[in-house]
Amino acid sequence: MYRVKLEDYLTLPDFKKMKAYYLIFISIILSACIKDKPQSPDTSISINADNVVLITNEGNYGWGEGTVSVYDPSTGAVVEDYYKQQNSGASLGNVCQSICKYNNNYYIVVNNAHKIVVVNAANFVKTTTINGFNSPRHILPITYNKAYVSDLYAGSVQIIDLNSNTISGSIPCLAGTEKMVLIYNKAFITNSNSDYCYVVNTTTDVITDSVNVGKGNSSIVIDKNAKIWVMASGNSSTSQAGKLTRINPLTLQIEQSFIFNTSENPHELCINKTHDTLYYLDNGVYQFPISGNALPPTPLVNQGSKVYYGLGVNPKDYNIYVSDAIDYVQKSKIEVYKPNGNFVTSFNAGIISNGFLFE
Amino acid sequence: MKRLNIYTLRQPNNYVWLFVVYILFATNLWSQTKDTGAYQLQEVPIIHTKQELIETSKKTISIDSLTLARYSTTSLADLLAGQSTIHIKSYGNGNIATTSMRGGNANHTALLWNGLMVQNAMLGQQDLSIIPTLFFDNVSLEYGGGSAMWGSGAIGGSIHLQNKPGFNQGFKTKLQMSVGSFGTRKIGTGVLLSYKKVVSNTKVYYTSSENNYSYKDTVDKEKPNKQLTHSDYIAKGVLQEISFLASPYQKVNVRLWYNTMDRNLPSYAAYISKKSQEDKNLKLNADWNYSKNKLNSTIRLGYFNDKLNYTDSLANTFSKTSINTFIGESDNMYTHKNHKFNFGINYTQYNSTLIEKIKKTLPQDLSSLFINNHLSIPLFDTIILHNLNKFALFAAYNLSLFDSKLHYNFAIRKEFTNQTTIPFTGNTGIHYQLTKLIAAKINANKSFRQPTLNDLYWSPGGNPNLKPEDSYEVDGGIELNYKKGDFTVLLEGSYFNRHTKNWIIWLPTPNGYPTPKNITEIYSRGTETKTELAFSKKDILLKLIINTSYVLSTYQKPSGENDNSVGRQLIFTPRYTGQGSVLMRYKNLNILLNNNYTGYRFTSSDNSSWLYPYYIANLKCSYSYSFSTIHMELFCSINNLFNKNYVVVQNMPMPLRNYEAGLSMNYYKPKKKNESLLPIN
Repeated sequence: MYRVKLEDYLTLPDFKKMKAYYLIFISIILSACIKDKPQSPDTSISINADNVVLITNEGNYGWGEGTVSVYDPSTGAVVEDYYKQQNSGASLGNVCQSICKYNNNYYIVVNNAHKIVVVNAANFVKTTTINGFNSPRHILPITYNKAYVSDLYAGSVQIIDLNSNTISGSIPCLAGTEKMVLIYNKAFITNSNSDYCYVVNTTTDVITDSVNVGKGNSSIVIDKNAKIWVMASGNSSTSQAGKLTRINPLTLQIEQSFIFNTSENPHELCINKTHDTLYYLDNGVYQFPISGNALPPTPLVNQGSKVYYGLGVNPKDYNIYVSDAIDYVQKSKIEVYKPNGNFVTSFNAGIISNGFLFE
Repeated sequence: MKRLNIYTLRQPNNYVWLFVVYILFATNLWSQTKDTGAYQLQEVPIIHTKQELIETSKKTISIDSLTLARYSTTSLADLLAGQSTIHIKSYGNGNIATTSMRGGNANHTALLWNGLMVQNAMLGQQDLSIIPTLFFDNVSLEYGGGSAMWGSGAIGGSIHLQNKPGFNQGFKTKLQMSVGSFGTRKIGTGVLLSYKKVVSNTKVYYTSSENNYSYKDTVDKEKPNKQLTHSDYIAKGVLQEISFLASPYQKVNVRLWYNTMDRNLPSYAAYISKKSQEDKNLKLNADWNYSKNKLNSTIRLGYFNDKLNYTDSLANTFSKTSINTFIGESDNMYTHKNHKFNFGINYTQYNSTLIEKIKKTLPQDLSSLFINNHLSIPLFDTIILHNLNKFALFAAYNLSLFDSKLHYNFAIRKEFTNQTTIPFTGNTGIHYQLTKLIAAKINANKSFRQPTLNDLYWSPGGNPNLKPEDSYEVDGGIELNYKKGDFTVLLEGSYFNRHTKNWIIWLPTPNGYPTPKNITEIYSRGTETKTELAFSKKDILLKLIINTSYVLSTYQKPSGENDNSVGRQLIFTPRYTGQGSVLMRYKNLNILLNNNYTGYRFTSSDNSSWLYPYYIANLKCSYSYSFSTIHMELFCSINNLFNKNYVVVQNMPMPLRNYEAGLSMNYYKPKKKNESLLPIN
């Protein structure tokens, strides 16, 4: 570095000579700054609660905030954070996992905040919170007074009392329980850590049996013939293949099963309005009639460079809703397709949209 | 400290600065090790060869010793959050804190301790909250890419931590104790034995805090006033340094740094947390310097062991990581007239161990698990071992022309690893003194970041085929130095422009877990200013420091067809940051008023969600009093002076106004004849 000599300090600067440098200096400082304050999104749209789609958006695990978006298919209007709008700016909390409507309430499962937020179905205003969970995932109403809550880390399924909104008991089982269905007083509970799907007697709240449906089973639906379909994703690191299984809920017999390649990761099993066509994600959206004899070789909708994360089928119009989580840290893109795979529309919801509830 | 040197050492009759040196002796013993070290140039030049060669054409900021002294009870994270425009991404008081420099993210800042890269190779970044400011005599910041000098990770900038032992200073000892808000207690001590040929410097600290601070939860409208729980921590450590003059031309330094931090990590979003983290860091460093005539050679050896144990019993996660680093380096400089040549080799080896236990909670009644005679108790116990060896060749050249008005530098470095091909990296720059007062600098560099061990080998998802990130940067600046009478003025404006390709991000895959890919390209550019005004006369010193930075760091390539991030600001990277501090000394009273502004930070890559700006002020005072050879110093700090409720990271509230007060006692027995006090050069 140039060492400044003593006499430099003692002489005054030649300001005439320096003007140009000052100009450069100032222009560097003032060069094309952009305004720091971002534009706030417009959240003043009102939603007709009659025919809308509710979308659960996880938000980033650990630091993000989960949201529920509301979409009106008739107008295309979207409110990205409906809970915040209806609850004077309050947030749901970290990782909004799932939503369920029951008893004129919505039950919003907030996974990493270990709670279920109960909101009034009429206005989406919070009425209470059910606390004490470990890592709650999904809620299944059993009676007007009782519901089951699956849990990723707890070694049990929690039983909640819907009158007092407290945990009233638990059903011990392996941690990793996921989606559930109820039929003939039996709850079928999937478990992503197990090869088995549990069968619970909903009167006694005891696991009575289980069905081997394959590793990583986490989504489950009931078809028009009152048969149960379970999707197991498999585990690519242990070369366990994914499997789609049809169970007779009365006999618990496996009536049909379809094996995927070990490289595949089928998930998000859904069913359409007439309960005769299954949909699932497996690097694309697949369509599979319940009468089918073999898995479809090609997807109905190609995934391309997108990251499909959540799937739903609108029972009102058969339309397929699929979310693209993109890079996990921006608003998801929700794409809507006709049952024939034709693109209808797309819109943005919150960050990491994982599921849909159709009203 | 570089600035001070220019002002002081070039003026033989500057009694004001001699007085400053005197005050330094009287008020702070630790920081002064460095100051006196600077006067020892006649014995063994303390030249960090590579850094000196290149930094003339780069923007650098050195935190002065007076300021450093005011932060001697805090972590490096607090120091840099207060005294620089580096964005310190703090997850809360006492919690993890990482860096963002010039629009990069945490693993684009290199951290160097006496010239050796010390950041965790597994994570590629360093948690600055576990590093005590106390341990270092000099903290300086080098802006912009520096891979040609330092290797992987020096893309946004580098933080240099240095120990500079001073010979022949006598015996000094110091004990400092403080108490603070949230049940915080700190104690630190130092003993310096400094003889003509041998120096021993010992520093020990212990800090414990309940850290149960109150905050306002902006998310919860019903009960916004909350208190943090499960956030206590204990940090302790020791630094031992021995320097030895083997001959007039040879110096040996041996250093041991060991620190631990045990902390519970709160969960802000939830009412319960069972997370805790334990950090244990051992760093050994030895160097041997030979300097005679035109040759200055240094051999550096380093052995580091960094352990990080993380437990979250709620999520059944128990992970233990340990990484051993071995570094050997030969660094040589040869001076011939106005030419300086630097060349050397570096060998670095990383060995990492990761033990991951994921215990699935078992129900009380095991019989419920027997279903169809099938019992399933998964208990994963994964042990992953990895090795990464690096070999680097580097060379640099510096030419000074026109009576040292122009400095030209050129540096090149090539690394070889057992993992991936690393391209050549280089740096070239010019520093030109345009007039007596004004200098211009321009610099260009090509830097890189190697994928971290986690990027490569994380299970599941690690991608062994990752390429290193490449960055190309050009920066320049104009600097004005002016001094008249008791005033000094320093102004610097810089502009930088950098493209980083193959930027690694973790993206979801069809397999159900994310995997890192070289997919993004980030374009970072911005302006920075540095202003220092100082007035010193007799027993008064007034110093005003203002640093600003304006950085646009935008995504350039979409990750998929719905990606809406192109042209948007990189998440967690503020566009505007500003820092201003006023340092005042009147007789025995020291006051440091510090102000920081951080602009909006986006939390989504499409910039649809963000965190609000915050402005924070801290006031630090000290008053010293001496009787005979014992010097007492009373100090106090008011942090977050205006009681602002703010977060740096979403959902991670920072403390409101808080206090620290303490006392330090210094005993100093100088050598009888301390001619080293006279500035010589």
